[in-house]
Formats: sequence, C-alpha cells, structure tokens
Amino acid sequence: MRKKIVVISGLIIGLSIITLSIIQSTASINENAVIIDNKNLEIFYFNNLDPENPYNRDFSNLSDKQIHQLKIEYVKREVLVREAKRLGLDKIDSIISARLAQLGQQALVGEIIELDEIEISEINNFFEANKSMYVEPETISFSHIFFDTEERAKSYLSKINNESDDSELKNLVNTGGIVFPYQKNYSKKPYSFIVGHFGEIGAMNLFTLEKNIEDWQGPIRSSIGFHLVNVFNKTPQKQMVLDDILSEVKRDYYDQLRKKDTKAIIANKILEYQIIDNTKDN
Amino acid sequence: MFIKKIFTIFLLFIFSLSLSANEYSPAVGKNYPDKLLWGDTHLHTNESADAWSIGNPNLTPSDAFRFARGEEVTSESGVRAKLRVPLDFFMVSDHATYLGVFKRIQAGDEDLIKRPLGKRWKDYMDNDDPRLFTEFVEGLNGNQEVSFNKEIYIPIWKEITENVDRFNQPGVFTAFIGYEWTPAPTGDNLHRVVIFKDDAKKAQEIIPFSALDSDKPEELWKFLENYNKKTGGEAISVSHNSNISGGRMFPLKNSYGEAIDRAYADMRNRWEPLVEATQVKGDSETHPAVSPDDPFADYETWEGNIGRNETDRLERLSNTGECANSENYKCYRYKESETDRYKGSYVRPALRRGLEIQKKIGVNPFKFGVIGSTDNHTALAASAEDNFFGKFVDSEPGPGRMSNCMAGCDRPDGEGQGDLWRNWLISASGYAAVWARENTREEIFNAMKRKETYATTGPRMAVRFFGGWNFSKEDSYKPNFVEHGYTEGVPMGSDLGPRERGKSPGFLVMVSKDPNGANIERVQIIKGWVDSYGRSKEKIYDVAVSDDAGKNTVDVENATYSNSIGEAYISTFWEDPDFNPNLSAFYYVRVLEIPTPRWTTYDSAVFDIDIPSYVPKTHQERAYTSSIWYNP
Repeated sequence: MRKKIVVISGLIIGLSIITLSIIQSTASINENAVIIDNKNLEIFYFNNLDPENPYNRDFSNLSDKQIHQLKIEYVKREVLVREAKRLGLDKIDSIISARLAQLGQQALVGEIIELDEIEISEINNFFEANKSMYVEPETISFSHIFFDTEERAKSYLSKINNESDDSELKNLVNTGGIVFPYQKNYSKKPYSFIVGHFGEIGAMNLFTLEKNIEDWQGPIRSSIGFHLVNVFNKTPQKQMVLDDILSEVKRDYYDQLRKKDTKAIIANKILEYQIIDNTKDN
Repeated sequence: MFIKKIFTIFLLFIFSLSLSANEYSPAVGKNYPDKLLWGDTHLHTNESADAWSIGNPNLTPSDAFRFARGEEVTSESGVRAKLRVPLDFFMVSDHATYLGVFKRIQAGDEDLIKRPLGKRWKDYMDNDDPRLFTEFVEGLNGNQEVSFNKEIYIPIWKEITENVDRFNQPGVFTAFIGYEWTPAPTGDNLHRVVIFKDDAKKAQEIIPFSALDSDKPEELWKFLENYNKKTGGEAISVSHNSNISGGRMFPLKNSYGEAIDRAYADMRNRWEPLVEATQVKGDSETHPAVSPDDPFADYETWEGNIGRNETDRLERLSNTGECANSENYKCYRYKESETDRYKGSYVRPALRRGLEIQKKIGVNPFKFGVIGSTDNHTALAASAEDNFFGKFVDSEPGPGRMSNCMAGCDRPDGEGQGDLWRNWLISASGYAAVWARENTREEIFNAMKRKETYATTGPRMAVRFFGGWNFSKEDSYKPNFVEHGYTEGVPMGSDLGPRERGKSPGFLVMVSKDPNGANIERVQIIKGWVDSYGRSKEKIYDVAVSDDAGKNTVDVENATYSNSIGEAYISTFWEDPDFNPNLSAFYYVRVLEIPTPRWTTYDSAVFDIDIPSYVPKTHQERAYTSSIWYNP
C-alpha cells in the first residue's frame, strides 16, 4: 500500500514537473516569438510601400524573393520595436506620446462610429425624438385626362357622363384630351411628388378630391392646364413603426453620431479622469 | 392527318395576326420611355478636397442625398435649405484627386498621416497654411510630387460607394455612384464626371482614375473601357465647363497633337455620350463670338479659363460706361487671334465642328447629347433662382455674396478681381432631364447612353422632341403624340431614319412650363449643317412664339414676375423649309422662359442691397435638348 502511494505521488510530481516545464517553455516562446502570417505581412507591405512605385503592384503578385525580403524587414522591425518597448523608450519619446494621443482620439471617435455597438435603447430614443422624420405621407392614386382649356375639359366630362356603353367609355378615356408631359396614371404618390408634375395649385386641387372609382371628377386646374380625374384611392398620413425601419433609423442615428464634435467627445472623456494639478504648489 | 396539321397551323397564324392587330394587353407595343426624371449628376461634398478646404468640412454625401430627395438640411453657413420639389436621381461626384483625403487627415487617419505628404498636410491644417490648397491645385495639374500611393483610396472608395447604395431605392429615387476627373492643364478646364451604372461591389473593383493618373481624356476613356472589360460593368464620362476650356474640350487634335481620326471619334462617342451644357460656372450652349446672329446667345457666358489671368489671350473691350468697372466680365473677350478657341469651347460650335470633321474622316467625333447639373460644392443641389445656395460656402445666401469672391478677393495685382471669380458671376444652374422607362440605375443610365436627355438652367420644363419623315401638324394635337413620335420617328439623341424621296424632315415638339415656375416665351429649333465645301453653318427657327414675346413683367425692386404673359403649354409641328438632302445636319430644341428675376435680384430684395450696374437684373431661363442628326 505504501509502495502504491509512493508510485502515485511520484507520478503526480513527475506530471506536474512536465506540465510546468511545458507551460514555461510555451511562455518563453510566446514572449520572443515573431509570428508571420499573410495578413500582418500584407499590412506591413502596404504600410511601408514606396510612394514612388506604381500603384498597381499587388501583394498577391509578389515573387518568392520579394516575399522573403519582406519577411526579413518585417522581423527586423518587430524585434526592434519590442526591444525599444522593453527598454521603456515608448514612455519617454515625445513623438510616440503625441502619436498615441492621436490614436487615442481616433479610438474615442471610433467607439462612436461602430455601428454594431449601438444599443437598441439609443435607437429608440433617437426615433422618439425624431418621429416626424419617419412619417409615410398621405398619397393619392388616380388617372387623369389633360386639356389646355377649361371649356374643352367641361364638354368632355359631359361626354363621359352621358356615355353608357362601357367599351365606348373606355375609348373616350383613352383617347381624350391632349398629351400630358408626365404620366396618365399615378399610383400612391405623395404631395411632394405630385407638386413636381402639377404645380402647387394642381397638387392642392388633386388632394382635395375624394376617392370615387365610379365617376370622373373635375375639371381641376393645374399650373399647366385642366384635368378630369378619376381617383382610385387615397391613403392618409401614417406614422412608421420602428421595427419596420430599424436599420434605416440606426443608420440615421449613426450618421448623427458621426457629426458630433470630436472636441466634445474628448471633453466628456476628460471628465472621467481625476486631474491633479501640482503646478500651484511650485 | 398531314392536312389537318396544316389547317391547325393556318388557324393559329390567322389568330395571331388578329391579335397583333388589336392586342388584348394595352401595354403591348408601348415599350417606350414615358417617365420624365429630374436629376443632378455633379455635386461635391466634404469628400472633395476643395469643398472641404473652402468652408465645407461638415456636409457629407449623406447630407447631399437627403437634400436631393427632398429633406431639409442646414447649410454649412447655418441657413436651413430644402428643395421645392425633390429630385428623382442624383450623384455625388467628388474629386478623384485626393478623394476624401483632407477630411480623413484632419480626423487623424493613421494610414494617411504616417505618409510624408499626409504629415505635411496635417501640419498645414494645424497651422492654417494656405499651401494646402495650392498643393491640391498642383495635384489637379498632375504634379506627381504631391501624390499618395493609390492603395490609400481603397477603403475611402469602399466607404463612399457603399453609402451611395444605401440611398438607392429602385423605382423611387436613384443614387448613382460616381466621381469627378479634374485635370486643368495650364488652367484650361478638361473636367469630366464619371457615372457608374453599377453597384458598390462592382465599382469597388477599380480605384477612381484621377488627374494624377493622366490629364488626357483618351486615357480616361481607356480606363472606362478597361473597367468594362474587367468587371462587365459600365461607366461613362460627361464633360463639363467646356466654356472655360480654352478651346480644348472639343479640339481639332487629340491630346497627343495628332489630327482627330476615326479611332478617336469612335472612342469618344462610346465612352462620352453626354456634355454638361450648363451649370454654376456658366452656360456652354454658345457664345456671341461664334453665334453672332443669335440674339439669345449671350446667356451666363464666362470668358477665358477658370484662372481669368490670361492677359495674353483676353482683351478688355472697353473701359468706359458699364465697362469702366474692371469687374464686368462681359467686357472681356478672347483676342481676335484667339477667337477660334470659342469653337472648341461651346456646345453648338462643337456640334458644327463634328459635322465638319465627319465630312473629312467619315465619323462625327462630337455626336453628344446634353444634360445640365449644378457642380455646387455645398452638398446642396439647389439651382432655383430664389432658392440658390451658391457654389462654395462663400456664395451661400447672405448679403455679401454679390460682391465677394470665390475663396477671397486678394488678387496680387490689386485689380480687385478675385483670384478666381466674383461670386455675382455664378449661375443658378442647372439640372438634367432624362426620358426613361423606370426610375432605376439601369434605365436612366441607358437613357443617358442613347442621349434621350436634355439640359435646363434650373426650371423643370418638360420637353418632347421627335423627328421623322411622315409627321404632320395634326399629330401635334393628338393624345397619342408620344406613341406616334416613337413609332413614326425618333426621339432626341437619335439619327433620322432613311429619307423618303422628296420629303423634308418634320419635327414634333411638346413643351410645358415648370409646374412651379414661369411660362414659356418661345420654342426654337436650332439647325446646324455643313455645306458642300465642308464649312458649317447654323440657323435659328422660332417654331412657337407667345403673342406677348418681348414683354417683361419683372419688378426688380421686389423680385417678382407674373405669368400673365407667355404660354403654359405648347405643342407644335415644324418642317425644315431649307432642307438639302445632300448635306449633313443636326437639329435641337431651345426653350426660352419669359423674363424672370436673376438670383442676384432675389438677393437684392431679400437682403436689401443694391445690385451693381453690370450685374444682369433679369434673364430668360432655358432648356436645350439633345440633337437629332440627319446623315445623307
């Protein structure tokens, strides 16, 4: 039994020694390893290109010899950087310090512009505060016949109203009036669209008409002429729901964040720090 | 059995004939463009180095798209801005030279600042050093010493193009991907915007070709050809500001000093189907020096090149009366020895020159269509006279913009003229009109390629123009005017079909006023042709004139006008009375509005300031269509 305990203890101690030595050797490899992979080599290559070289030199087209040379340069740079850090030179060099400040600023702004980090509650707040931006406007769907004078429009309307034969009526609708520069049929168009084709007066008159599939209405006046109108449908203004337009609102919020003044972001960050000013004591 | 089969086939044939004569579906056979779409394909934002450094560090392409689709945007100078009517399509065309670079250096972009040029520019920015802008201009002139490696543009172009895709809504609002190629050798403007038909993924397969790559248009066209071969995508170039190109936009020789040949003509026609005929830096239709018999030729014309320091090429016509003031640009012209430059600088003489060259080499190198656009650098595509937001921030609405200069008035010789231009000179212009089947990238792009487009100086007047051999006056009143136009003739941008013996070409023209603007005073057809000696000529025909043409209702003090004169709608037919079947010709329509206040007059009323005597008080805004050509 004692012998057994000694063997097991010996095994445990032996395994522990092996494990510790493996951990130790891995740690020492990590500390001194310079890992070269395609990604960091490519970044190194782009970041250190000679600007005089033609732009179309592609990393993937480099020769084996060039890749080999690139690796030597990359390793040299990495080793020197690490040695400088080991000696604490990064803490005493003013250029590095200024550069770090610059990177810090970029990181702060970067934090803001990361789309994925935006919380749904932020989007919700933004949406609530800007609801008026997300409204489906009132729309109208209609056909019309265009005339250059009110008299011609009126006389054509009575022709239409007196026609009882369906196919004749269809013919009257299709062949009546003169050519309108824009469209004959409009489907679910908002005021802002209609005003571009009919002018303010025309859009106003059209939107005062009620839905009436059976009868032709008018004539109504536009800034170009007169119109007989058959209104198929009207839809009222509607507030959009956040769930339906989430990505659009998120992007708008993101755009707004990007516009925020960098100085303000930095100022907020400074507030998180305790500033100890010893100059007064001197 | 066999006879039965034959009989069945015969019946089916008869049935199909009866169907084709009277189709069940009303849409059959009506596959023609019926949508008039309005857009601007030339606008700059803070991604352009000049816009960024001359006062627009904040307004982005997203702001520009929002404004174009009708949303309210606050301008850089703090004025709230909104279009009266949204646009249907839109493109931001920031300069490829240093695209997005200034903005990113200022934001501390690590990759840019670590480069020697980036570091120098960051220092310039921190110290407000004007050499920043000087070096940008050097880049436009192709100075390779102020260039970055092209790889820096990969992430910038990616971000820009993906943002455009975000705004593209097929059927509702078309957002094009594009940029501007901006060479100006010795100050002569050779600028082009590049319009992509494709989405971000495809456009990202290239890096924009800039003035630093080449200042030769032929090289740009080769680049577009390579893009097409490489990706299967498509892009076209559109030249602009030929008016300040010193005669180099429509040249007799190519960029290598050789006479234009068929290869040049074919290449230009393939890759550059359009010309931007009007915009904020003046109008390029024609000039009194080359169209002396055209009483409407002197419209928003500029002289010389963009630098206006061409003392060797320009002369002052007079220094008395209205010309006593050296700022009156109307009092300068190219010297007698330089007048040929006008022929290479304006659209109409270029169309004429194209016929002359065609007679020599068999191909017309200047067979282009026209559009208008703004070229504003404010992110705001505003071109209405009473809703004009200027070219740069210094010409955004304010009492000073009538007297200040673009980027300051500190001319070294003390003449008082701006280094570039006085801001009263800029024009509230223009927009592109396109006849398309749908509001999509592909449909609008294809309409541009077939030149079914026209330019306006801002107002949205509708213009239809068809040419053919069998039209009559009655056709212009018919409700099927458009269908008839397409089936019996050709639309703007096309060649007339084969001539029918003994006939002259006839043209159907329909014009309606801007639904929110002024009435129409007259509709003209401009004809150019080349005689048997190879010399080109031009003639202007009034094809419809309002009874009260020549009257002016503008109240200058209050900046108002009345639509009590002019016509809201004109539909007419015109047959060429001087037609010679042996001579090549082109025909295009020019529409003139009744006189209305110029933007400077609106400013005078709004800001209660005097208008200098040399600044026009009223003008007649206009539209120019693409041409219809006749070839014997």
